[in-house]
Amino acid sequence: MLVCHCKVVTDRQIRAAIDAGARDEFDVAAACGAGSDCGGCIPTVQQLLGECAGCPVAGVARSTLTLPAA
Amino acid sequence: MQGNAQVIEFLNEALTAELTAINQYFIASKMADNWGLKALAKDYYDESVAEMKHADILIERILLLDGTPNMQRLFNVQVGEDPIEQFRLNFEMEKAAVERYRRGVQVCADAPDPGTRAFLEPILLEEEHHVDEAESELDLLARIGEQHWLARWA
Repeated sequence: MLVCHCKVVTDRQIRAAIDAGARDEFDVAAACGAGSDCGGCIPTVQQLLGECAGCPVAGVARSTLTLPAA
Repeated sequence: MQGNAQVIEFLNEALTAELTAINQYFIASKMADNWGLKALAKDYYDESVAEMKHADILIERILLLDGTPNMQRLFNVQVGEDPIEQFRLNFEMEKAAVERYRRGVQVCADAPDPGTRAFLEPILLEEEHHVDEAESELDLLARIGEQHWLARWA
């Protein structure tokens, strides 16, 4: 399944990044790019992290988007 | 006419799901066409349009209840890498839609908002029909095998 549409990263590639030591969504983004553009797939990345033993699921989805100042 | 806050919140969640389904079926249709599965592409295209009609009436209902339709939010668009995975992901999405609309009927019963309940029930019936059709296809897939199943959709 294609998880990150922006960087074209599949669930298998994200699982491989987690197997190789990624422990949060920032590690995953650094390893394979997933979640580093629009941020829409970060909840799915967190879900995949949660399936991996010993990886706590972040309580709040953090967006990589920078909002313009008010 | 001011609607119940929980009902409007549910309608917006349903709208998010329909907007997601429009996109998921649309990309599935274009990928199926690219794989040469023309009949499957046509089927997904029609499903995408059917979901757009649901989005159409959900938006109207939210506005009628003086709510604000959220056109910005999407759930994850789940794109399968091959035709079988794609079909299964679409099936999972349809099952989630049935569960969601059943919950929505309950939200309307609790509100109470019998008008919105009557509005949701025909959509629920359509989604149940989609799930039933997909189940039949998956039964057939198990019976005749992947290659024969794909040949039916070419």
